[in-house]
Amino acid sequence: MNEQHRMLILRVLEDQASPAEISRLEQLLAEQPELRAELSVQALDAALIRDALAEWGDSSMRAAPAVEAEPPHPRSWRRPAMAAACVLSVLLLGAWLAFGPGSSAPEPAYEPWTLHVRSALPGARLSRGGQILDLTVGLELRGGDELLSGQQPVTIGVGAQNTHITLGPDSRVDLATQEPELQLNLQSGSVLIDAQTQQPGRSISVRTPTMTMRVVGTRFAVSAGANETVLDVVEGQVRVQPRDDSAGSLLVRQGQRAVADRQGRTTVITFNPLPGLIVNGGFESGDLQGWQQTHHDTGLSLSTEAFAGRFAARMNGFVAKAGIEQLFVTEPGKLYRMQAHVRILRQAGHDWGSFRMLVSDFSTWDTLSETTVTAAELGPNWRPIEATFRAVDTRTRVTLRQFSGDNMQMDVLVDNIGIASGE
Amino acid sequence: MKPPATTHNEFLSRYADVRRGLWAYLLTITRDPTEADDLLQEVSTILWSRFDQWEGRGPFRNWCMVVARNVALQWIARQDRRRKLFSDKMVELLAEDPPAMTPTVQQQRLDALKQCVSELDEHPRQVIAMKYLQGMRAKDIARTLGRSLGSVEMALLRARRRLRACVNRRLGEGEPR
Repeated sequence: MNEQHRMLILRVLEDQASPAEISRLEQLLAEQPELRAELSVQALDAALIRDALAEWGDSSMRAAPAVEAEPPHPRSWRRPAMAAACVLSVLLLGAWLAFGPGSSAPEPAYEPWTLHVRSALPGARLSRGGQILDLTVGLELRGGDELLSGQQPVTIGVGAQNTHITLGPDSRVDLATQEPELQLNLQSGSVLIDAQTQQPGRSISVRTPTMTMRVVGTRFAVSAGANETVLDVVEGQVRVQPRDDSAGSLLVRQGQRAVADRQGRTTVITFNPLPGLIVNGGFESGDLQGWQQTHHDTGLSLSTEAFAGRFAARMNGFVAKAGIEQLFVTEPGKLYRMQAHVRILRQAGHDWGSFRMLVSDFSTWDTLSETTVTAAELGPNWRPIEATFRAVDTRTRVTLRQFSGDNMQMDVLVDNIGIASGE
Repeated sequence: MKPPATTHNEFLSRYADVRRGLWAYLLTITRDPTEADDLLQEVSTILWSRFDQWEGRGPFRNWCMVVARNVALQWIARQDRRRKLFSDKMVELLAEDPPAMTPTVQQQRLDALKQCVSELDEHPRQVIAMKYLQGMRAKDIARTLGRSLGSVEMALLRARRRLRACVNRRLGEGEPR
C-alpha cells in the first residue's frame, strides 16, 4: 500500500482534501479494489475511535486524570457517553420508533413511562381531571397532568432511566405519555431536560408554540415566552423542528442557542469562548485571586477534587454559607454565556433553596440571568451549568453561592468558570 | 406492514452487527460524523419499517447497504453542487464492496483502540474527541481552542495515524504496509 494513497484517503475522510484530490482518489478507487478496502478500513476505524473514546472517557472520569491547563471545553472528552456512537445510534433508532410512521401501535417491549416528583416545595400545583392537587415529593404523574411549578423549581424523575426534568419557577407544562413517547408541552416558563441514557425505542420531546425539540441523548434548557422560544443545549445535541418548517429540521449542538420568534423563524447562535475575561476561573492560582467572598470565609476553601487542573472552589454550607463573586468587563447590548462546572457533594435539610449562579448588573444589581441546581437534578458527578444574558453595562457581576433558607445545607465544588460571547 | 413486536429484538441484534459499517460507509460519503449520524438515523428508520420484507433473503448486511446507498444518493442530490463529493457511480461501487472487518475483528480493534486512546497525549486526544464525539468541524475546533485551522487539521491527521500504528502494533500486524 502506497503511503501517499493512505494519506490521501485520510485527508478525504477528514474533509481536508481539495476537489482535485477527491477526483484523484475517486479515479484510484475505481481502478484499485485494495484502495477501496483501505478506505473502508479507515472509515470503520473512525467509528471504532468514537466508541473507544466514549468508553475510555467513561473510565477516565472515574480515574480523574489531572489536566494542567484549562482547555476551553475539557468535557468534550471527559463526559462523552451521551455522544457515543453505540448509544447514539440506538437513540436515533429509538427516535424513529417513536416518531416514525410505524409507531402508532405501542411496543409491548417498553415499560410504561413512570414519572415521580423528586423535589417540590409548597406552592407547586397539579391540575388533574379538573382537580387541583399539591405537587409533593413521591407523587406519581400521569399523561394529561398539567403542572404549575410556583415560585421554586420542581424536579421530576423519569423511571429508572437516569432522566430528570426540572421545571423552572413559574412554569406551566402539560404532560402527554403516549407510548413510546413522552411529550412535554411547555406553555410558559422554562424546563431543563437531562436525558443521557434513554431506553432504546423511547423518546422525549418538548413542544412550545413555535418549536419542537427531540432528545438525542442530551441536556438542554428551553424557555417559552410570549414572543419567543429559546433553546440552550448544555450537553449533546438536540433535533429541532421549527413551526416554520420551510427550512426543515436542524441540529443544535452543545454550546449553541436556538431562538424561534412568534412566527417560528429560528436562528442558531454559536458562543465563542473569551479566555481570560474571568480571572482565575479554574482556581489554578491556588487561591481565590480575582474573587470576592460573599459570606463568612469559614465555609469557603479550595479543594483538590477539581473538575480540571489542580483546584476547585469548595463552598461548604454545612460549615457556614459561602459564596464567591467577580466583576468582569462586558459590552452593553452584547450576548454572553457564563458557564461553570458544579459538583454537589452533599445536600441536606428541608428548606427551600438551591445552588445558584447569578449574573447581575454591576450598578443596579438587576438580575440578568440565573441558574439554580440541586442535588436531585445534578446527581453526584461534575456537571456544567450556564447562564445566558445580554449585558447592559460595561461591567457585570457573577455570583456563585448557595441560595436557600436556613434549614438547608449544601456542600458544593465549583470549577472551570468561563464566559463566551454569542455575537 | 408493521413488523410484529417479536422481531424487535431480532432486528436490534442484527442491526448492532452492521451499525458501525453503515456509519463508516455514510461517513465516507458525507465526510462529516454528524451528517453520518443523521443519515444513519434515516437508514435505520427504513430498515426497521421494512424489516418484514427482508425475510432472511440474502445477507442482512447487503440488504442494509442497498438502503444506505439509496439514502446516500438522495443526500448527495440535496447537496450544494459546489461541494466536491464522490460521484453516484462511486457511491454505488463502495456499497457493493465486502465488509472491511467482521464483528469479532472490530471488537479486537476496539479493545486495542481503547488502550491506544489512553496513550495519546492530552491535546491530540482532545482534538480527536471534539471531532468524533462532539461532531465538531475542524474550523470550529480551531476557533474553540484558539488555534489555526491548519494546526488542528494536522493534529487530527497525526492522531489518526498514531492510533492506526498503535492498533496495528498491539494486534501484531506491524506498521501499515
